[in-house]
Amino acid sequence: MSLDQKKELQNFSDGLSSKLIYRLFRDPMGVVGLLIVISFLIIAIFADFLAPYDPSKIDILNKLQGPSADHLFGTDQLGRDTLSRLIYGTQIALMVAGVSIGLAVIIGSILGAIAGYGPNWIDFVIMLLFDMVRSYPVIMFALAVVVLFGPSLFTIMAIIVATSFPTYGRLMRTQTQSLRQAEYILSARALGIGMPRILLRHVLPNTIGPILIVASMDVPFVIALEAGLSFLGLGVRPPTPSWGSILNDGYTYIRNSKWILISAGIPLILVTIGFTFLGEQLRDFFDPKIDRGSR
Amino acid sequence: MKASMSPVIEIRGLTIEFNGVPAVKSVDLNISKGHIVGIVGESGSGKSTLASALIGLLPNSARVTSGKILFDDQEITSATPDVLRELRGQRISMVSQDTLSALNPVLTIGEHLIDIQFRETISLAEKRRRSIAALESVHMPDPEARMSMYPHELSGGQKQRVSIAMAVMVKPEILIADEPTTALDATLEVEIIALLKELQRKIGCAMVFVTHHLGVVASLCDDVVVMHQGSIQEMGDVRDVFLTPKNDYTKKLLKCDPAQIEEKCRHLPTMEAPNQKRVEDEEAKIKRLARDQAPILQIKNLTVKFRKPLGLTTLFQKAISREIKAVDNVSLDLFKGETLAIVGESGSGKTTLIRSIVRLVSCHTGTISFFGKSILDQSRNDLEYARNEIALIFQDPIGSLSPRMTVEKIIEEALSSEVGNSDDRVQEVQNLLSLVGLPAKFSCRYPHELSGGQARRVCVARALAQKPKLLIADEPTAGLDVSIQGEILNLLAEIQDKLQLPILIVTHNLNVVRHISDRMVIMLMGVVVEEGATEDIFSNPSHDYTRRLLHSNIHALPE
Repeated sequence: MSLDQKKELQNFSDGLSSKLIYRLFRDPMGVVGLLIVISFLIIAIFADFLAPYDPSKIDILNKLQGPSADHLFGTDQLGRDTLSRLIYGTQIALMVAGVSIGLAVIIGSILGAIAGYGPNWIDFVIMLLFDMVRSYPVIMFALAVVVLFGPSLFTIMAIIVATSFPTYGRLMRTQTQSLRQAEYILSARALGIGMPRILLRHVLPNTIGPILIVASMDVPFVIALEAGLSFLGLGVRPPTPSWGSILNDGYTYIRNSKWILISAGIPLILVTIGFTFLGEQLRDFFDPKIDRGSR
Repeated sequence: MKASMSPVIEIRGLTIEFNGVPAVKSVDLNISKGHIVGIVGESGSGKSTLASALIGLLPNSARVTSGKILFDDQEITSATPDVLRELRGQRISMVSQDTLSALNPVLTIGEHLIDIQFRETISLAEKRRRSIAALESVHMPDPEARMSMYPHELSGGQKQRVSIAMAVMVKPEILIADEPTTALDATLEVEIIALLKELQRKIGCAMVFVTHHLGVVASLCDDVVVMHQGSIQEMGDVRDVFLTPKNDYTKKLLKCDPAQIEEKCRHLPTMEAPNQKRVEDEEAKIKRLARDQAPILQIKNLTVKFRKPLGLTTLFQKAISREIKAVDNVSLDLFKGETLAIVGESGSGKTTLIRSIVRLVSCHTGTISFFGKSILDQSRNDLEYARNEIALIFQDPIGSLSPRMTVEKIIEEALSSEVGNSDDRVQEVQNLLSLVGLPAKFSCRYPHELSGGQARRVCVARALAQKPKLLIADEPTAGLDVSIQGEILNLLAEIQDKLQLPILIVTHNLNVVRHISDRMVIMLMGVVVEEGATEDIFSNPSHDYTRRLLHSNIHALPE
């Protein structure tokens, strides 16, 4: 290959990578999703600087107030600043959602891909595991685990991973099975490529789309699950602020003040929108067939 | 075309664009009542776009920029969906290309046929009776029993008969057939064409037949339209166009048809070089074929069985009867520098046979040895080694390329790990691309951005990246038009001359086999029925089936 041929190739591939970023930013939905997710990440990381008050500082004289200049989102039944509690709650919400869904996706995808691609007996064993886990009621399972290990953030995450990975696993298994007889998988096998590499390079990129969508829509569900467990006293212990516990407080005191419930609902809705938009955009991003650059 | 006949469809200055790129350029065409019009051209010539415009089924990205289509004074390009719905399935109907996906898998054949009579106000029993009559008219064996069968229980040819029955049942004034025989093999193709002709006579409808198979047009159509890059090059009576073509493009296209070349050519003409045909001289042939050496690939008494899945009905059958022999006691040898063609209709076990060579399917009895070493009882690592030395080119060129990898990555993956340095690997990929005649910039493309011919070239490049000692190609020219078919076959021949590579080709295209293969094997229901030098079999077939197969090969010129 001559030098200028190489140069042409280089230019072409440079153009390609900038095109990918361009593609992600071209769609307003992707930009909105990305902005929301990034701002929540910033809020979580810099909670110490952003929160106007200490989230657990009790000011009983100013309890259950509406929004004001001092307390933008009002105060709760103990006079704690709701905004500060929400800001600190972001840390827990994102950590629970990110870590537990991430782990569940990884574990589920690996097991699902092996079940879908491997021999029948492995499929049978893995499916048995999935069905077994799914057959436990989530709350009963959570109660049992909490009794054994004690309530903590880590326990919550472990419970979420354990109960949600079979969903991703089943999805991955079905997708892999439908690809198993595809000619490009056969041709990879005919090249003598081993199973791990086929799964990683040929199966995974073609199955990741639906997984991303399901995962991004699972984010609010997981946050709500954490809220539910915290409500039962199985999750984050007070006074640690979590969106779930704030929502529950709001539910309890809804007759006295509607502001707690409203202000805790806003970030939950925003996060849901953000992750869903981003997930949708990422799916398109991973699919070379959708090329917005040419339109 | 005869002016006296009143046209059913008039196309006036029709231009259709895709994202600003014209696919059909100011086409004028009259389709006369009761005539069969063949539209031929290379892929991308706009023939399918024209056919779908006739029934108002253009994809959303297409825009009609000028011109009109008049069907009985009704303008089609600007018609409302309601108007179109009244036309479709009543006065215009269509037979589609893909027999596999044209029928709904969860409906029985009977439900399909009864469902399209939804406009009729007759009793269900009457609809049923008509459906059976329609199946009879397409010569379906035992139509009554077929009514309750599902599409997957029928063969490809039978499915196409059902789609034809559905299209013809409404007694349309015009029938559009978009490559209805491409997915079928030679014997079935002849039957379907005879059937279409018979039905067209019976109903007296006009028919538009889109194909890239010149022989089909010659034997079926009254008029022919030759299209190239969206515009009509030549049209007229099929005999005039085929025997005395006036347009340069038509002349070139006809020259490229391998069926029209009498002598056996090693290099086939293409659109770029229509006069190029090289007959290999005897000396070169003897040099290429080193028969005295031991065979590179030797298959002995190979049997491959598939087991029917266990269901309620199969549970009570004996174990033996649940097995299907896809390949039955097959033996063959392949020598250095030789091209061996495996010919047979679909379901004859050709593909299973070649897949068993790389052990994508497991064999039951028999031996396969490659360079004297048995493939079947090798341990896993040795097998991976053998797979690397045997390159397989799959039937579906785009489908066999991983959709989310670029061409560069696809070819690079097949390179042996000995080429370590990443610069060297990129260099090697570039070399391979230029060897198969693709420009360097193709390395950044994704499979869906390639045409059928380009994807086929990438498949060849990937096969060569393995530095194979044996090349196996499954239907390497399926779905390609004559010119690109010639290019791919010439490429394989060049590579064979250069590397003395033995090539095993699986195909049902007899016109291709006649030119490129040294020996051929004919398979029927998993059994080899005849084997020998290509010339001998073509001039003097000994088995009944071979004779039938050769006889069914469509004539290149109109009678």
